[in-house]
Amino acid sequence: MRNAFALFAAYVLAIGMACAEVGDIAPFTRGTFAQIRAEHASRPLVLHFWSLTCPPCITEMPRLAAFARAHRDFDLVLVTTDPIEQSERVAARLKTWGLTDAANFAYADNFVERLRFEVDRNWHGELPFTALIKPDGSVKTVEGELKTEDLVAWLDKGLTQ
Amino acid sequence: MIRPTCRFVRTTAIAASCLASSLALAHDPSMHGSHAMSGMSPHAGACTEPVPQCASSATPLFDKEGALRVIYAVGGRVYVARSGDDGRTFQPPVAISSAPANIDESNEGRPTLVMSQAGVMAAAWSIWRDKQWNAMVLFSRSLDGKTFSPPRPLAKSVSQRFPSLGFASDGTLWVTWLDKRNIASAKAAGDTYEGAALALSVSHDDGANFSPSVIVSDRTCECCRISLAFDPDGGPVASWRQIYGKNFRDHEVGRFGADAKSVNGIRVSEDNWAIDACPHHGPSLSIDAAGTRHIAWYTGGGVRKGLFYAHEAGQNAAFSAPQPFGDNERTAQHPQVLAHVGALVRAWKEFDGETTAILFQASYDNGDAWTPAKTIATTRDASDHPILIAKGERIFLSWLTKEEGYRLMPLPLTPER
Repeated sequence: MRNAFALFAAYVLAIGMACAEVGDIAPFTRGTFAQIRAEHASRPLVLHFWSLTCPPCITEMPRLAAFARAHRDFDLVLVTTDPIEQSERVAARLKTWGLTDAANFAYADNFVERLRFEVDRNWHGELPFTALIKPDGSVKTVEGELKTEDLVAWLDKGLTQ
Repeated sequence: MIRPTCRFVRTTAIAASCLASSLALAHDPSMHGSHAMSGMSPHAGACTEPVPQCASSATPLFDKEGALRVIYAVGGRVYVARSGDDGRTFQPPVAISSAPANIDESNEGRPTLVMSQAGVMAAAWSIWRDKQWNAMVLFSRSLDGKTFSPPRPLAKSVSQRFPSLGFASDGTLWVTWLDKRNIASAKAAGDTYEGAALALSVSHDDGANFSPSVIVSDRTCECCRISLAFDPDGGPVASWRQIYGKNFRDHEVGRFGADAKSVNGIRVSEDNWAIDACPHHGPSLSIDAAGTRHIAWYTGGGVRKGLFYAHEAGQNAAFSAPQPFGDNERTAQHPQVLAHVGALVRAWKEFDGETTAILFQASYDNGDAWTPAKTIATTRDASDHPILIAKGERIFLSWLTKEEGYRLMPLPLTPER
């Protein structure tokens, strides 16, 4: 009985610790892609995948953050492919970019093939990776660096339609 | 526009996630404080026992007695487990690293284990060592197959990842990895420096001492593992993803110089994959008894896209034309190639939206004609890369999956070999 109580106490303590670590980063799991699309269906959506361990991602993020702050005509949603247990480290990095208030997700499902397949069945896991989704439902994917001129061109087309 | 989203979904899902993580944390007395949650393992919330099934990758080796050894990481520690029955059961593992660390447990950056002809085991892996995600390659060896030396770094450079190692037939231990030491000096000189570099170090005393590491090739891709094999005369040959021109990330195969300070390589094929990204998709190299080098790789190039195979008749020979394989509609990925006693096998992973399968083909004419693709194993949850490994005359698939655990499966090869 005493052991059971100790276990319970440890469990309650552990919940507090774990939740304090998670921060404001939502889990990205099976079906999350469709949920995000539905929530942002009325506006152009830039869904951007990145990782702490991906140098090109880290290089391009400040530019993407600045662009998103300067343009109010699309929604930016960020998904890190780092496991959600790494949220503390992810949040620290997001803070340096001023992206703490963005819609942030982290992988919470290790069946990564299925997560990728939902976004783009031809995506082999390259990072960074971006899905550009228009209100009409059309999806354009970009492997690697998201060039500002390409993003501008995509947004211009979206607005003229 | 930056604005928060999915508030309701987020709150409830985080609660569920916290619950799962906390349960794992509370139930394992071997975990201490925040380190328990710091590993990169995507399985961390589900499973914390030091067994292969709780790892995200498991790399196999057959020892001198023919027993299987598997190296893997769980909860920030690296373990080696021995199996006397080809992976059906494992003896209690030996922990190589005592202090928990933030280990690179990605399928690409996996811990790796090799053995010399005399039975010395050598292991290498990398850890994330600071908040800037700089990494460090660690090395450990075992002279008796039971105890391992304390892990130690092989270089003092700013960041090292993706170690690959192997014993040559003369007993020399070759270690290569991706290293970022030249980036800072290039930037200081006003040059841009994409990617990382191929570093090399050798040991002539079974890993007791190593030569100072040197960079043998600058501007490699920074996030794809290196494949290391040996020519019949014992010369070490590596294959890796190199950056050509501005940003074509294609493959190179090259033999290291006997002085361990150079590499003599050629480009396998001009796939022209122009991408500023981390493909997380390294090549696979195997060299047969006649010295023909066989390579399998993935490219998303402008010239070709998918999995490809080619061979080179020997040093300085030209590579054969890239031969496509696998089903691009099923995201064919992570190819492996192995040449062994007259047979050549290639295996890879495919995913159809629900099920992940490992398929293989065999060739008995040096890679010109191949048997029809055949599925050897499947799973319906997370899985490691497939690995091919040989024992005696047989070739096995080594595959760790979340649902089924570790499996070692002999490939049903046709008898005309």
